[in-house]
Amino acid sequence: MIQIDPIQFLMQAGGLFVWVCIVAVVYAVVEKALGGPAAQDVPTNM
Amino acid sequence: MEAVAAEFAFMATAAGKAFVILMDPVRLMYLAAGCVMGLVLGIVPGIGGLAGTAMLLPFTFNMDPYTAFALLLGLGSTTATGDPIPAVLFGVPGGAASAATVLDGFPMAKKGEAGRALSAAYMSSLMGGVFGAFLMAISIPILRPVMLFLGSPELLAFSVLGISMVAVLSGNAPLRGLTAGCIGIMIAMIGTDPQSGTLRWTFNSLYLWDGLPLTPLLLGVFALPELCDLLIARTAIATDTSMSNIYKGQWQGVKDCFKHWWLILRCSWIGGGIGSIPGISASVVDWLAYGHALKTEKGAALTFGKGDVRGVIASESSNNAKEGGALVPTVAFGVPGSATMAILLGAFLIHGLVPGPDMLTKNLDITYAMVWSVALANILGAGMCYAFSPQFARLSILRFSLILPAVLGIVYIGAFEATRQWGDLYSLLIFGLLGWTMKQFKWPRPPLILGVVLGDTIERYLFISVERYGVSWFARPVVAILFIIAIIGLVRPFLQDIRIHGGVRKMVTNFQAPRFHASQLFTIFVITVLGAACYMALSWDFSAKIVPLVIGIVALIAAGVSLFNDMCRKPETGMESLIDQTIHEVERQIAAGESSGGGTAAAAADQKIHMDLTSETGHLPLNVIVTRAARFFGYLLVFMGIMAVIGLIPTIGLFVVFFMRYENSERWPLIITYATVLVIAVTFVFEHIMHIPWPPTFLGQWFPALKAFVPSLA
Repeated sequence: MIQIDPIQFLMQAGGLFVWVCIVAVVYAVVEKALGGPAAQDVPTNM
Repeated sequence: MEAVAAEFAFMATAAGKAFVILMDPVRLMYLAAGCVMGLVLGIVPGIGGLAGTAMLLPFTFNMDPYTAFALLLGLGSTTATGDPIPAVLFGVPGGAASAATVLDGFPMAKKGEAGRALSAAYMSSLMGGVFGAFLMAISIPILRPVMLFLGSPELLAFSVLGISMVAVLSGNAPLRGLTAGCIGIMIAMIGTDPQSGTLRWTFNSLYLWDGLPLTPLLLGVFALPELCDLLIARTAIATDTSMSNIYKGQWQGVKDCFKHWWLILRCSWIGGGIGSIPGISASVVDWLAYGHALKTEKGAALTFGKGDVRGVIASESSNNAKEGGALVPTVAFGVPGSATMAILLGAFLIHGLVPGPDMLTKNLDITYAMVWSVALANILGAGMCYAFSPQFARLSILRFSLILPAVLGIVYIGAFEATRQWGDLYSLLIFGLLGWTMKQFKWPRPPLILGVVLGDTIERYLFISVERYGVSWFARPVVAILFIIAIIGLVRPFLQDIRIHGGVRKMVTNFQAPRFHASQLFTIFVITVLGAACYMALSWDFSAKIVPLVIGIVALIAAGVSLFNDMCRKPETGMESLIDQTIHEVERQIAAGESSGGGTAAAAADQKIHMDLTSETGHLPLNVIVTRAARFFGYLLVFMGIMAVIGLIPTIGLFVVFFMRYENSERWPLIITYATVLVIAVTFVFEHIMHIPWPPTFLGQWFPALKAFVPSLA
């Protein structure tokens, strides 16, 4: 039987969204400080 | 006559009961979920049905066998239904099973007949798949009377026959295959020996006392290497193909299938028949069916390869029929011919089912539920393809940076489901590295899994047979015949090898001064590990060490000869695996048709490029491969480290952001949306629906109050 606590789920979902945003902001700041996005190899087309 | 009627009534009852059980809405939902996953994995580049089945297996632990097999077979049966989409639209097969579909499907798309080609592919897949299920259904009454006379010695002989299939499964590397198979058996023997209680290769670790769990091993050997290669190849299909004409000509495709019903029946028979022969892999079935159609269909030599719908029909009907055929030896004899079937055999063991007579007597309804699952999955799969072709087509152009993070998260969760200890994750990492190295150095991986799955069974049946029948079990006629077939199976590739080299004399004189290259380091590593394992086994009780030692010594000899061959044998040309032979045969026939029909050399060259099944990373320089692989396994290590502190779900969020931005400079709105949706979906499915118990984390231990707010924090 599937039992979901909607309040807990919504709190967790909101928390996860905030977490992802924090990580993204930290990464973006570090990236800017280091001088732009990492230059990776061009994808190899098949 | 009465006995036949009673037998028929018994089977009809079992089939009816199985159908009613499968019609339960929850089971149908799982079957449909399996179909969706099968289609998606068939279409998305780089993952495939094999890794998909391995990934799903741990999530079936708490299901009943009917539901578990509905999910697994739903996936297994439909991966071949979805993969013509990239084959037809972009000329890139979604999986090995639709490589031949490219030959006619892609030219049809170029002519504006993509809708017709896809429709013909779906309908022939449906017909082939249902035929495969039918083949399995009619095999049961034929095999049942035979199976009732089989005892432990015969089942042992069947298991040995299964192991001998490693030689066939290994293509043109039988010695490496044999070594891998033996290593698999030795891995199966890790843990407490049931006869004497001796701890075998447990290295004082409590985790290994009950043996190494199958799931992290499967995921490590089959899923991680594919993900690693995805990162190394950084594959992206560049395309400007319009998807607007996907629906155009669909009805014509359906009519084509009914018009060529006899071709579908023949090719389905080829698929089902070949599928039921253990050892012939999925990748060869479509080529054989395509070759058959090319030889037998009127005017085929002139039109095949230029957009003939019969080419699409031939390959697609055969590759869906093989699943039903391949289930027959797996269910009836416990002899899985392919790696997917070896995983399915693992599912049998996990659900407490023993393949063999029980599956055709006591558990006949489960066997029939499998038949229904395969048939229904094919119908559902084809229906979904008709309805959602354009959406599925978009999946095939997904970038690696979108596929890899989601799949990796699921692989971690799946691996941890095995015993719910950190040891599962270490096993995943170790076997991932082993699997990738094997893939790179062209060591066949399916024999390893076959060995692991059958290793336990062989040792158990061997002891039962010896206890009950003494040595006389060896003289039972069926046992003797099966052993002879097994020996022939093992020896045949070596005899072929000798013939190709022009006889024994030429073979033993055809040597040169030793030459060294990097791949030999892996063989040396394998020999060292095997030697150490045998040395450790020497101190055990006789009953605990006899089988591991015999297997270990066979593995050492096979690996030693393989290394010697590598170093000292003069390079040979003309060694072809079955798949190469079949492809070259089709190439020759098309080339003959081209010359008689006045085709251009350029067209022939074009076809040759499409037909070559080369490694996805083979074109890259070695240093690029090594650097990217090191980065991949570095990610895995760091992932595990962070997961130990903050839990799996927050780690997935962090990993997705870092990976997508660092590896492919994705745009921020996409990264944030993707990461948020993924972590919320994982939380919903695994924490709230499946209630997965997560691995303990430092943060959870330091601040227990956080557990209520942070998912996966334990």
